[in-house]
Amino acid sequence: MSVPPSLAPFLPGGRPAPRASGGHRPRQVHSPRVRRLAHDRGVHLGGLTGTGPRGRVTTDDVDRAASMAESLPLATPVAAPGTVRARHTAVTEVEVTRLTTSPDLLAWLVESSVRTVRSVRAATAEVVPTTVSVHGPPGGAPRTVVNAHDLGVQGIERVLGAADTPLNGSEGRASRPELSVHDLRGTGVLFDVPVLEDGVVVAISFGDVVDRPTVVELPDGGRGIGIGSFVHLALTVDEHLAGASAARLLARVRQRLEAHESGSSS
Amino acid sequence: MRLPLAEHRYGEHGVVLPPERSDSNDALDVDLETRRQLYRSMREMRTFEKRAYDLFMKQLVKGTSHLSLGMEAIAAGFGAAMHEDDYTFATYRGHAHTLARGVPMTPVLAELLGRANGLMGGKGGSMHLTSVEHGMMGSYAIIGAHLTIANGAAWSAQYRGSGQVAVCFFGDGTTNIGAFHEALNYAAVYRLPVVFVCENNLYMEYTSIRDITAVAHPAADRAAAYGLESIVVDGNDADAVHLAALEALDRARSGRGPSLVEALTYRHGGHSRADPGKYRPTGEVDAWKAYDPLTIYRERLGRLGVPEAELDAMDATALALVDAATEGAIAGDLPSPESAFTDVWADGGWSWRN
Amino acid sequence: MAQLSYRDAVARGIAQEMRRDERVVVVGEDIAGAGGVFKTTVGLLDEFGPKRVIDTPISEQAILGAAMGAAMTGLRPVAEIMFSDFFAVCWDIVVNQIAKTRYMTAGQVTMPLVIKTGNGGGLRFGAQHSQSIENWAMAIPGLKVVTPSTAEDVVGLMAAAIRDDDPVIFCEHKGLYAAKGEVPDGEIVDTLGTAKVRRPGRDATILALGMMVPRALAAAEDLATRGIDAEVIDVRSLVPLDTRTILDSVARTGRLFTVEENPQLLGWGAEIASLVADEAFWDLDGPVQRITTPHIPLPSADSLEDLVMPSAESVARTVEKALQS
Repeated sequence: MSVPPSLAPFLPGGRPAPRASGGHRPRQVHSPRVRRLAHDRGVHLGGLTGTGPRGRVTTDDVDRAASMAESLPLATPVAAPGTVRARHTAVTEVEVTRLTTSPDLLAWLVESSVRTVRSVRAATAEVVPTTVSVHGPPGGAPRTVVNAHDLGVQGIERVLGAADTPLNGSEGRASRPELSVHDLRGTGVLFDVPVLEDGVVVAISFGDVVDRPTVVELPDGGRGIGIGSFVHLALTVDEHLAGASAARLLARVRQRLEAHESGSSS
Repeated sequence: MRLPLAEHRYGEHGVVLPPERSDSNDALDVDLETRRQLYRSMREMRTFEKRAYDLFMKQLVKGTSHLSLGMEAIAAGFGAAMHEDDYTFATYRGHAHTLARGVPMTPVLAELLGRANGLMGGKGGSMHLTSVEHGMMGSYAIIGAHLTIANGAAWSAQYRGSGQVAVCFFGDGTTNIGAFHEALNYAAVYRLPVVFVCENNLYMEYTSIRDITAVAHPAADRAAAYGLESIVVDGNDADAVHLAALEALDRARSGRGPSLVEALTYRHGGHSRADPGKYRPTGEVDAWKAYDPLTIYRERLGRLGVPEAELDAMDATALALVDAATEGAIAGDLPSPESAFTDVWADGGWSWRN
Repeated sequence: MAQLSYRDAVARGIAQEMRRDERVVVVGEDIAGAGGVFKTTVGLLDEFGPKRVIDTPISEQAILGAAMGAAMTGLRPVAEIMFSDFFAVCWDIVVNQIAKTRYMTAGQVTMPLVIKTGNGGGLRFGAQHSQSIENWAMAIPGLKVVTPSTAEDVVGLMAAAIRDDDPVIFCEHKGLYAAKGEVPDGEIVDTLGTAKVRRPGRDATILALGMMVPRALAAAEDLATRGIDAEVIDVRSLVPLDTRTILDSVARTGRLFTVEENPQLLGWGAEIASLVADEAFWDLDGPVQRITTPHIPLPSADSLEDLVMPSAESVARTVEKALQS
């Protein structure tokens, strides 16, 4: 029986006609499954080209991107034991427009750094609990976040804000911090070269958040000028102990922050 | 087209008067011990229902309540005739029928108050009083449905050869709903051991039964349609009811099938607590209140030689029982939150998924 | 092992239980002497006699009320509602009395009864004799609901339903009565509340019930030739619902489709879609899609009925299109 096309939407499996777009045409849409996978594997969706229907990013695309990031060759050869330690610093800039209010940027940065360090350590060595020493804002005493890997960004913010967060060295149960994060906001400095104190393998610093013009996507799908908040990140690493280069680590921290910024993490 | 409210104004239909007072039923074949029990039973029901009314006014009884004030003789008359393992099925106006099976007052009152020590833990309320251990198989709030269910209990008794009988109480309004007719036919076809008792209090809810029924006796005039005898009895005379009950129960128990008994009575209050009963002509209400089953019976017992003091003592005992029940009900805890989730299924749980 | 028709499987399941428990009785219109209008109770009268297998008048309320009263007082009745559309005639007994009385009496009564019924369309019987009503029953707390799709499942689920102490609505599919299937010899007892993966797959999960199961399977075979590997789950039991099997499947495939014979609104698949959207949202790679009859009464003409009911072809087309967009 031949069926007039007007009936097709109502027959089994038919779909209603798409509504005339009253305004907003969505940006590239990622399914919940893709977004969850990207979050879990630290992949920034915005940068991906999708191979699915109509350019959709598929779960395979995410898997591929994650594997590639994890198998990036080291930017510098790792020095042999006994030789001069290879300490390198890398710098980048990242947009944090949506990460400056609640939770605070510091908490986002701690979370992204913790996840990055752990994922790298997991690939190269036994995974150890992550203890982070947090410096700043300037004028305050350094704080230690214990078992940071168990906390989400909200948990980290809570710990940082709690009055009884232990000072460095006073928390008996903690392992020595391997990671330090330095908050230089308010000093007028964009970034500095963070120093690795005793036992610290990776140090990150960030400075003032600067608002400046940037390219944005408009509701009608075009591009325009908007205002974004940007921050510089500097990362110093003992490449031998970490088993990874400064560039690689910084790229992953940035990737994770961008995932939070774009909302593709849950 | 015939329209009752075009023929008369609302509440101004023809008055139906109770039977004339007489002492001829003093001579009915009911022994004095049973008669004492009938009086005691009716007095307990009356006192209990009045207390339920008072507690409702104090907002301790929630929701709604349908009281049997004025209709006690039917519940008491049948209650005294039934065997302990017979089945009772009643409507939402079931407080008196529950007490008639020997269910203690405290859990019944506590159920009305929605307490954990209520007959059903507060889960059913006034309209669904049930005590399976006393043979009180439930009070049902959808008109007509429980006649079909009573048939099932009768079928089960017949199948098991146990000799039990199911007795099903309902109002005059029930006789016009489909389930009534299905149940009567069904019971007659299989000759089920069931007794259907129509408590005709002349009002369907707020409408005179005569205005909306095609025949004068809503139940008795339908009996022939199901091959049953037409039985009408004075529902305010406990002895008359008791004897009719014994006969109907015997018919069922001996395998001769169902009966349909129409008992004429009147309710002193409205259909439910919310109803002040203004649709009944004043002359009618007064006449029936004077023909109160307790008043007539007290007078009869007096004529038969039972001392006033003894009857007063029975009244006092009833009051004491009701007072104790009130105390016990008010002292009852609220049901636990967990209890909202119990007994959907036979395993006690409620889960619909894994 | 034997080839048994779905309708013979119904009689076999009931007989199996009647042999082991003399409290099991069967009651309904034309079910005794005639063996049922759909021949699902053939042989029961001969084997068990007129006291246990009873022909009734056309009185659905009286039939179900009697089943309830008997179940409350020691029997285990199986009552038949000939066409499931007729539930509307006696729905009060089902939802106000049978479903609720145990709860309202705080567990004083138990109701081990089964209501078997001829459900579903596809036989050109018209709108008043072709409905699928499992979703009506699913909506009422206190009722268990099963719909077998194979002869073996009919025997096993009927046994499970009769042995269960709660009221069970047993939906037989009229369109499957003639379908034959392999049924093992001996006693068969299944478990209520369990779904079955009829065809494992990787790319999409298709849920189906009753006569829609063979259609979903045919669709899956067709999809396989075009590189789409669909998993087909026979839901079997709506209450209790085997959410674990369904959610596990969606976690693997990321795509859910339901094939429902009910008209569109409030079919059983809508409830499952809601559950999945809540509990498996982050597993979904695309929208949940329900393939249902449109929201119209079922027409009687064969060409129209076939047009509006889900078919293997419409299922395959819908799944393929969804996976490509």
